[in-house]
Amino acid sequence: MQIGCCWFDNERRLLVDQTRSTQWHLNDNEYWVLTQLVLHRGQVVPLTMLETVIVSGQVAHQLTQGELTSIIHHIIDYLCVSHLNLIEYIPDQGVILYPINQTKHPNILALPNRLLSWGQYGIIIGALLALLLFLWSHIIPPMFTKADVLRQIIAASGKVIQLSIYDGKSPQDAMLHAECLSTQLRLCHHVRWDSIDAAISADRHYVSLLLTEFTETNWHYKNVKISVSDMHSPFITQAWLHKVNICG
Amino acid sequence: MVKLPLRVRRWRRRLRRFLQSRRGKLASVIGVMLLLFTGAITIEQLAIPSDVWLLSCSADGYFSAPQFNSEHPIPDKLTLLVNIEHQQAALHYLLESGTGVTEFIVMQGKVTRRDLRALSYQLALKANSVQWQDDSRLHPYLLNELSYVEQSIKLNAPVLLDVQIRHVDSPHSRVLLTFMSSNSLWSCQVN
Repeated sequence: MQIGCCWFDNERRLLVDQTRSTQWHLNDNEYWVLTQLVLHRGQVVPLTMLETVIVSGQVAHQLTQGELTSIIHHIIDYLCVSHLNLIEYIPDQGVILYPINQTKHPNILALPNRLLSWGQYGIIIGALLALLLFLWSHIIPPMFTKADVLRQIIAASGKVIQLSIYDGKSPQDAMLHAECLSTQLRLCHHVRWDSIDAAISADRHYVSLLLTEFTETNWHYKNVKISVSDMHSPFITQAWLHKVNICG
Repeated sequence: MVKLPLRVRRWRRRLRRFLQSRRGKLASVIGVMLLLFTGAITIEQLAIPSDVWLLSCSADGYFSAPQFNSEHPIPDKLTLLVNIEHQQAALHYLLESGTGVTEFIVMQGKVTRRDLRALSYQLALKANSVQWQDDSRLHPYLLNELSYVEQSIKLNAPVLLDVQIRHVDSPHSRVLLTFMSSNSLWSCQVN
Protein backbone atom coordinates (compact mmCIF):
# COMPACT_ATOMS: atom_id res chain seq x y z
CA MET A 1 0.00 0.00 0.00
CA GLN A 2 1.04 3.60 -0.54
CA ILE A 3 2.38 5.66 2.35
CA GLY A 4 3.28 9.11 1.06
CA CYS A 5 5.83 8.61 -1.65
CA CYS A 6 6.72 5.10 -0.44
CA TRP A 7 5.19 1.81 -1.33
CA PHE A 8 4.78 -0.54 1.60
CA ASP A 9 5.22 -4.10 0.34
CA ASN A 10 3.55 -6.18 3.01
CA GLU A 11 4.60 -9.51 1.48
CA ARG A 12 8.29 -8.85 1.16
CA ARG A 13 8.52 -6.49 4.16
CA LEU A 14 9.85 -3.70 2.04
CA LEU A 15 9.40 0.02 2.13
CA VAL A 16 10.15 1.24 -1.38
CA ASP A 17 10.84 4.88 -2.04
CA GLN A 18 9.73 5.38 -5.62
CA THR A 19 11.13 8.84 -6.07
CA ARG A 20 14.63 7.92 -4.98
CA SER A 21 14.40 4.29 -6.14
CA THR A 22 15.61 2.98 -2.82
CA GLN A 23 14.21 0.27 -0.67
CA TRP A 24 14.37 -0.55 2.99
CA HIS A 25 14.20 -4.09 4.26
CA LEU A 26 12.24 -3.83 7.45
CA ASN A 27 13.30 -6.01 10.34
CA ASP A 28 10.77 -7.62 12.67
CA ASN A 29 10.46 -4.65 14.99
CA GLU A 30 10.21 -2.06 12.22
CA TYR A 31 7.72 -4.20 10.32
CA TRP A 32 5.60 -4.59 13.43
CA VAL A 33 5.46 -0.85 14.12
CA LEU A 34 4.63 0.04 10.53
CA THR A 35 1.98 -2.68 10.23
CA GLN A 36 0.28 -1.47 13.38
CA LEU A 37 0.26 2.09 12.07
CA VAL A 38 -1.17 0.96 8.74
CA LEU A 39 -3.84 -1.16 10.43
CA HIS A 40 -4.92 1.78 12.55
CA ARG A 41 -4.47 4.42 9.93
CA GLY A 42 -6.01 7.72 11.04
CA GLN A 43 -5.95 6.75 14.71
CA VAL A 44 -3.43 7.32 17.46
CA VAL A 45 -1.71 4.02 18.19
CA PRO A 46 -0.64 3.96 21.86
CA LEU A 47 3.06 3.52 22.53
CA THR A 48 2.34 0.60 24.85
CA MET A 49 0.75 -1.24 21.96
CA LEU A 50 3.70 -0.61 19.68
CA GLU A 51 6.22 -1.60 22.32
CA THR A 52 4.89 -5.13 22.51
CA VAL A 53 6.12 -6.82 19.36
CA ILE A 54 4.16 -9.92 18.40
CA VAL A 55 5.72 -11.85 15.57
CA SER A 56 3.94 -14.97 14.40
CA GLY A 57 5.58 -18.10 15.69
CA GLN A 58 7.57 -16.26 18.31
CA VAL A 59 7.05 -15.14 21.85
CA ALA A 60 6.06 -11.50 22.17
CA HIS A 61 8.92 -9.27 23.23
CA GLN A 62 9.14 -5.73 24.52
CA LEU A 63 10.92 -2.81 22.89
CA THR A 64 12.50 -0.16 25.03
CA GLN A 65 11.16 3.35 24.60
CA GLY A 66 14.47 4.38 23.03
CA GLU A 67 14.30 1.65 20.44
CA LEU A 68 10.71 2.48 19.61
CA THR A 69 11.31 6.23 19.16
CA SER A 70 14.37 5.46 17.09
CA ILE A 71 12.28 3.23 14.78
CA ILE A 72 9.52 5.85 14.53
CA HIS A 73 11.94 8.62 13.65
CA HIS A 74 13.68 6.37 11.20
CA ILE A 75 10.38 5.78 9.44
CA ILE A 76 9.53 9.49 9.49
CA ASP A 77 12.96 10.31 8.11
CA TYR A 78 12.57 7.78 5.32
CA LEU A 79 9.46 9.51 4.00
CA CYS A 80 10.04 12.27 1.47
CA VAL A 81 10.19 15.83 2.67
CA SER A 82 6.71 16.60 1.33
CA HIS A 83 5.26 13.72 3.35
CA LEU A 84 7.06 14.36 6.59
CA ASN A 85 3.85 15.18 8.38
CA LEU A 86 2.22 11.94 7.39
CA ILE A 87 3.37 10.25 10.57
CA GLU A 88 3.20 12.18 13.77
CA TYR A 89 4.86 11.14 16.96
CA ILE A 90 3.13 12.39 20.07
CA PRO A 91 5.62 11.97 22.91
CA ASP A 92 4.40 9.76 25.78
CA GLN A 93 1.13 9.17 23.94
CA GLY A 94 1.37 7.38 20.68
CA VAL A 95 1.89 7.62 16.96
CA ILE A 96 -0.57 8.42 14.22
CA LEU A 97 -0.38 7.67 10.53
CA TYR A 98 -2.68 10.08 8.77
CA PRO A 99 -4.94 8.66 6.08
CA ILE A 100 -3.87 11.29 3.53
CA ASN A 101 -1.05 13.75 3.52
CA GLN A 102 -2.34 16.15 6.11
CA THR A 103 -1.89 19.78 5.31
CA LYS A 104 -0.45 21.33 8.40
CA HIS A 105 -1.77 24.73 7.47
CA PRO A 106 -4.88 25.48 9.42
CA ASN A 107 -7.55 27.83 8.25
CA ILE A 108 -6.16 31.33 8.29
CA LEU A 109 -9.23 32.50 10.13
CA ALA A 110 -8.82 29.94 12.88
CA LEU A 111 -7.96 31.48 16.22
CA PRO A 112 -4.24 31.59 16.79
CA ASN A 113 -4.56 30.12 20.24
CA ARG A 114 -5.49 26.85 18.62
CA LEU A 115 -1.86 26.52 17.62
CA LEU A 116 -0.14 28.57 20.27
CA SER A 117 -0.73 29.30 23.88
CA TRP A 118 -1.79 32.82 24.77
CA GLY A 119 1.66 33.46 26.20
CA GLN A 120 3.44 32.43 23.03
CA TYR A 121 0.92 34.33 20.94
CA GLY A 122 1.56 37.38 23.09
CA ILE A 123 5.32 37.07 22.67
CA ILE A 124 4.99 36.89 18.90
CA ILE A 125 2.60 39.83 18.72
CA GLY A 126 4.85 41.80 21.07
CA ALA A 127 7.91 41.03 19.00
CA LEU A 128 6.02 41.98 15.83
CA LEU A 129 4.96 45.28 17.36
CA ALA A 130 8.53 45.95 18.44
CA LEU A 131 9.71 45.21 14.90
CA LEU A 132 7.02 47.46 13.49
CA LEU A 133 7.98 50.32 15.81
CA PHE A 134 11.62 49.78 14.97
CA LEU A 135 10.95 49.86 11.24
CA TRP A 136 8.56 52.78 11.62
CA SER A 137 11.16 54.84 13.43
CA HIS A 138 13.55 54.11 10.59
CA ILE A 139 11.14 54.64 7.74
CA ILE A 140 9.26 57.84 8.61
CA PRO A 141 10.51 60.62 6.40
CA PRO A 142 12.69 63.23 8.04
CA MET A 143 10.78 66.09 9.50
CA PHE A 144 11.49 68.95 7.20
CA THR A 145 10.56 72.35 8.40
CA LYS A 146 7.73 73.44 6.20
CA ALA A 147 7.30 77.00 5.16
CA ASP A 148 4.75 78.84 7.30
CA VAL A 149 3.58 80.85 4.33
CA LEU A 150 3.85 79.81 0.68
CA ARG A 151 2.75 82.20 -2.03
CA GLN A 152 3.05 82.89 -5.70
CA ILE A 153 3.22 86.53 -6.57
CA ILE A 154 2.87 88.07 -9.99
CA ALA A 155 5.10 91.10 -10.23
CA ALA A 156 4.33 94.19 -12.32
CA SER A 157 6.42 92.74 -15.16
CA GLY A 158 4.30 89.59 -15.17
CA LYS A 159 6.98 87.47 -13.61
CA VAL A 160 5.84 84.82 -11.15
CA ILE A 161 7.77 84.83 -7.89
CA GLN A 162 7.62 82.00 -5.40
CA LEU A 163 7.59 83.30 -1.85
CA SER A 164 8.22 81.12 1.22
CA ILE A 165 8.37 82.46 4.75
CA TYR A 166 9.77 80.37 7.58
CA ASP A 167 9.05 81.33 11.14
CA GLY A 168 9.19 78.69 13.80
CA LYS A 169 7.92 80.99 16.56
CA SER A 170 5.08 83.18 15.42
CA PRO A 171 2.82 82.45 12.44
CA GLN A 172 1.24 85.92 12.86
CA ASP A 173 4.57 87.58 12.12
CA ALA A 174 5.07 85.28 9.16
CA MET A 175 1.66 86.26 7.80
CA LEU A 176 2.30 89.95 8.42
CA HIS A 177 5.63 89.97 6.61
CA ALA A 178 4.35 87.74 3.81
CA GLU A 179 1.54 90.25 3.28
CA CYS A 180 3.96 93.20 3.27
CA LEU A 181 6.44 91.47 1.02
CA SER A 182 3.85 90.38 -1.53
CA THR A 183 2.23 93.84 -1.64
CA GLN A 184 5.57 95.53 -2.15
CA LEU A 185 6.78 92.94 -4.67
CA ARG A 186 3.71 93.51 -6.82
CA LEU A 187 4.65 97.16 -7.06
CA CYS A 188 8.20 96.39 -8.19
CA HIS A 189 8.97 97.13 -11.83
CA HIS A 190 11.78 94.72 -12.12
CA VAL A 191 12.48 91.74 -9.94
CA ARG A 192 15.43 89.59 -10.88
CA TRP A 193 14.60 86.70 -8.56
CA ASP A 194 12.27 83.79 -9.21
CA SER A 195 12.12 82.50 -5.69
CA ILE A 196 12.41 84.27 -2.37
CA ASP A 197 12.79 82.37 0.89
CA ALA A 198 12.72 84.37 4.09
CA ALA A 199 13.46 82.96 7.53
CA ILE A 200 12.76 85.01 10.63
CA SER A 201 15.26 84.27 13.35
CA ALA A 202 14.16 82.76 16.63
CA ASP A 203 15.33 85.76 18.65
CA ARG A 204 13.46 88.04 16.20
CA HIS A 205 16.39 90.30 15.43
CA TYR A 206 17.39 89.05 12.00
CA VAL A 207 15.89 87.98 8.71
CA SER A 208 17.67 85.50 6.44
CA LEU A 209 16.75 85.92 2.82
CA LEU A 210 17.56 83.42 0.14
CA LEU A 211 17.07 84.78 -3.35
CA THR A 212 17.16 82.42 -6.31
CA GLU A 213 17.15 83.17 -9.99
CA PHE A 214 16.49 80.33 -12.40
CA THR A 215 18.13 80.80 -15.76
CA GLU A 216 18.34 78.18 -18.44
CA THR A 217 22.01 77.58 -17.94
CA ASN A 218 22.44 78.08 -14.22
CA TRP A 219 20.74 79.02 -11.02
CA HIS A 220 21.91 82.09 -9.19
CA TYR A 221 21.66 82.25 -5.46
CA LYS A 222 22.10 85.09 -3.05
CA ASN A 223 22.01 85.06 0.72
CA VAL A 224 21.06 88.25 2.51
CA LYS A 225 21.16 88.73 6.29
CA ILE A 226 19.44 91.78 7.69
CA SER A 227 19.11 92.96 11.23
CA VAL A 228 15.63 94.19 12.04
CA SER A 229 14.88 96.38 15.03
CA ASP A 230 11.22 95.49 15.49
CA MET A 231 10.01 92.25 14.00
CA HIS A 232 6.39 92.77 15.05
CA SER A 233 5.87 95.84 12.90
CA PRO A 234 5.83 95.85 9.11
CA PHE A 235 9.30 96.93 8.05
CA ILE A 236 9.26 95.92 4.39
CA THR A 237 8.81 98.96 2.16
CA GLN A 238 9.71 99.76 -1.44
CA ALA A 239 12.87 101.48 -0.21
CA TRP A 240 13.78 98.41 1.85
CA LEU A 241 13.37 96.12 -1.16
CA HIS A 242 15.57 98.45 -3.22
CA LYS A 243 18.22 98.55 -0.53
CA VAL A 244 18.54 94.77 -0.30
CA ASN A 245 18.52 94.49 -4.09
CA ILE A 246 15.32 92.51 -4.37
CA CYS A 247 13.72 95.25 -6.39
CA GLY A 248 15.21 97.13 -9.30
CA MET B 1 18.86 5.74 0.73
CA VAL B 2 21.70 8.21 0.98
CA LYS B 3 24.03 7.06 3.72
CA LEU B 4 24.91 9.95 5.92
CA PRO B 5 27.08 9.59 8.99
CA LEU B 6 24.98 8.51 11.91
CA ARG B 7 25.85 11.56 13.94
CA VAL B 8 24.72 13.97 11.21
CA ARG B 9 21.48 12.09 10.79
CA ARG B 10 20.86 12.13 14.50
CA TRP B 11 21.42 15.87 14.61
CA ARG B 12 19.16 16.43 11.62
CA ARG B 13 16.48 14.41 13.32
CA ARG B 14 16.86 16.33 16.54
CA LEU B 15 16.69 19.64 14.67
CA ARG B 16 13.60 18.58 12.78
CA ARG B 17 11.92 17.44 15.97
CA PHE B 18 12.83 20.73 17.63
CA LEU B 19 11.49 22.76 14.73
CA GLN B 20 8.24 20.83 14.79
CA SER B 21 7.72 21.42 18.48
CA ARG B 22 5.95 24.51 19.74
CA ARG B 23 9.07 25.85 21.34
CA GLY B 24 10.95 25.33 18.11
CA LYS B 25 8.33 27.16 16.07
CA LEU B 26 8.44 30.07 18.50
CA ALA B 27 12.21 30.08 18.34
CA SER B 28 12.17 30.11 14.56
CA VAL B 29 9.70 33.00 14.47
CA ILE B 30 11.86 34.99 16.87
CA GLY B 31 14.94 33.98 14.90
CA VAL B 32 13.43 35.28 11.67
CA MET B 33 12.57 38.54 13.41
CA LEU B 34 16.10 38.91 14.71
CA LEU B 35 17.33 38.33 11.18
CA LEU B 36 14.99 41.07 9.94
CA PHE B 37 16.24 43.44 12.64
CA THR B 38 19.86 42.85 11.81
CA GLY B 39 19.10 42.95 8.09
CA ALA B 40 17.39 46.33 8.43
CA ILE B 41 20.28 47.73 10.45
CA THR B 42 22.84 46.39 7.99
CA ILE B 43 20.97 47.83 5.01
CA GLU B 44 20.74 51.15 6.78
CA GLN B 45 24.45 51.09 7.48
CA LEU B 46 25.22 50.22 3.88
CA ALA B 47 22.85 52.83 2.49
CA ILE B 48 24.56 55.69 4.30
CA PRO B 49 25.48 58.36 1.81
CA SER B 50 28.84 60.00 1.81
CA ASP B 51 29.16 61.85 5.06
CA VAL B 52 31.64 64.51 4.09
CA TRP B 53 30.48 68.04 3.49
CA LEU B 54 32.55 71.00 2.52
CA LEU B 55 30.27 73.97 2.11
CA SER B 56 31.06 77.54 1.36
CA CYS B 57 28.35 80.10 1.77
CA SER B 58 28.42 83.82 1.34
CA ALA B 59 25.86 86.46 2.18
CA ASP B 60 25.27 90.16 2.01
CA GLY B 61 24.93 91.38 5.55
CA TYR B 62 23.12 94.50 6.68
CA PHE B 63 23.90 94.35 10.36
CA SER B 64 23.78 97.90 11.64
CA ALA B 65 20.93 100.37 11.54
CA PRO B 66 23.03 103.42 10.50
CA GLN B 67 24.51 101.37 7.69
CA PHE B 68 21.10 100.31 6.50
CA ASN B 69 19.54 103.76 6.82
CA SER B 70 21.84 105.35 4.28
CA GLU B 71 20.54 105.86 0.75
CA HIS B 72 22.58 103.11 -0.87
CA PRO B 73 23.84 100.86 1.89
CA ILE B 74 26.95 98.84 1.08
CA PRO B 75 26.52 95.40 2.56
CA ASP B 76 29.16 93.56 4.55
CA LYS B 77 30.30 90.33 3.02
CA LEU B 78 29.68 87.46 5.37
CA THR B 79 31.25 84.12 4.55
CA LEU B 80 30.49 80.85 6.26
CA LEU B 81 32.56 77.76 5.64
CA VAL B 82 31.19 74.47 6.94
CA ASN B 83 33.29 71.36 7.03
CA ILE B 84 31.79 68.11 8.27
CA GLU B 85 33.98 65.09 7.88
CA HIS B 86 32.57 61.99 9.59
CA GLN B 87 33.17 62.75 13.28
CA GLN B 88 34.94 66.06 12.83
CA ALA B 89 33.27 69.38 12.19
CA ALA B 90 34.46 72.94 11.72
CA LEU B 91 32.67 76.24 11.18
CA HIS B 92 34.41 79.31 9.96
CA TYR B 93 32.79 82.77 9.83
CA LEU B 94 34.41 85.73 8.13
CA LEU B 95 33.08 89.26 7.92
CA GLU B 96 34.50 91.59 5.33
CA SER B 97 33.50 95.20 5.42
CA GLY B 98 35.15 97.82 3.25
CA THR B 99 38.83 97.14 3.44
CA GLY B 100 39.04 93.42 4.16
CA VAL B 101 38.36 90.78 6.75
CA THR B 102 37.57 92.63 9.94
CA GLU B 103 36.08 89.91 12.10
CA PHE B 104 36.22 86.16 12.16
CA ILE B 105 35.69 83.13 14.30
CA VAL B 106 36.89 79.56 13.80
CA MET B 107 35.08 76.81 15.63
CA GLN B 108 36.18 73.23 15.61
CA GLY B 109 34.87 70.14 17.29
CA LYS B 110 32.96 66.96 16.91
CA VAL B 111 29.74 65.68 15.43
CA THR B 112 27.89 64.42 18.48
CA ARG B 113 24.77 63.17 16.76
CA ARG B 114 23.71 62.68 13.20
CA ASP B 115 20.58 61.68 11.39
CA LEU B 116 21.64 60.77 7.92
CA ARG B 117 18.13 60.50 6.55
CA ALA B 118 17.22 63.99 7.69
CA LEU B 119 20.81 65.11 7.06
CA SER B 120 20.83 66.80 10.42
CA TYR B 121 23.89 67.08 12.59
CA GLN B 122 24.46 68.04 16.18
CA LEU B 123 27.82 69.66 16.59
CA ALA B 124 29.80 70.32 19.75
CA LEU B 125 32.37 72.93 18.81
CA LYS B 126 34.88 75.14 20.53
CA ALA B 127 35.85 78.63 19.48
CA ASN B 128 39.49 78.17 18.52
CA SER B 129 40.23 81.54 17.11
CA VAL B 130 38.24 84.73 17.53
CA GLN B 131 38.57 88.31 16.40
CA TRP B 132 35.88 90.89 17.13
CA GLN B 133 35.91 94.62 16.47
CA ASP B 134 34.99 96.98 19.25
CA ASP B 135 31.63 97.71 17.73
CA SER B 136 31.19 94.18 16.44
CA ARG B 137 28.66 93.37 13.75
CA LEU B 138 29.42 89.71 13.50
CA HIS B 139 29.22 88.96 17.21
CA PRO B 140 25.56 89.91 17.76
CA TYR B 141 24.67 88.13 14.55
CA LEU B 142 26.38 84.96 15.73
CA LEU B 143 24.75 85.15 19.14
CA ASN B 144 21.51 84.94 17.19
CA GLU B 145 22.52 82.40 14.59
CA LEU B 146 24.16 80.01 17.04
CA SER B 147 21.39 80.63 19.62
CA TYR B 148 24.12 81.32 22.11
CA VAL B 149 23.00 81.44 25.70
CA GLU B 150 25.91 83.35 27.24
CA GLN B 151 26.46 87.08 26.84
CA SER B 152 29.45 86.74 24.56
CA ILE B 153 31.39 84.16 22.57
CA LYS B 154 34.91 84.07 23.96
CA LEU B 155 37.97 82.09 22.99
CA ASN B 156 37.62 78.38 23.84
CA ALA B 157 33.92 78.85 24.55
CA PRO B 158 31.88 75.73 23.82
CA VAL B 159 29.26 76.04 21.09
CA LEU B 160 26.45 73.51 20.64
CA LEU B 161 24.65 73.52 17.33
CA ASP B 162 21.96 71.70 15.39
CA VAL B 163 22.23 72.11 11.67
CA GLN B 164 20.24 70.48 8.91
CA ILE B 165 20.96 70.20 5.23
CA ARG B 166 17.42 70.69 4.09
CA HIS B 167 17.63 70.61 0.36
CA VAL B 168 20.33 69.30 -1.95
CA ASP B 169 20.41 70.66 -5.46
CA SER B 170 22.88 68.22 -6.98
CA PRO B 171 22.98 69.58 -10.56
CA HIS B 172 24.01 72.98 -9.30
CA SER B 173 26.04 71.75 -6.31
CA ARG B 174 24.02 73.80 -3.88
CA VAL B 175 22.52 72.90 -0.56
CA LEU B 176 20.15 74.68 1.76
CA LEU B 177 21.53 74.77 5.28
CA THR B 178 19.40 75.57 8.31
CA PHE B 179 20.43 76.32 11.83
CA MET B 180 17.63 74.55 13.61
CA SER B 181 17.36 76.53 16.82
CA SER B 182 17.74 80.00 15.31
CA ASN B 183 15.88 79.26 12.05
CA SER B 184 18.69 80.83 10.06
CA LEU B 185 18.88 79.94 6.38
CA TRP B 186 21.92 79.63 4.14
CA SER B 187 22.32 78.56 0.55
CA CYS B 188 25.77 77.07 0.18
CA GLN B 189 28.04 75.92 -2.58
CA VAL B 190 29.16 72.30 -2.24
CA ASN B 191 32.87 71.97 -2.86
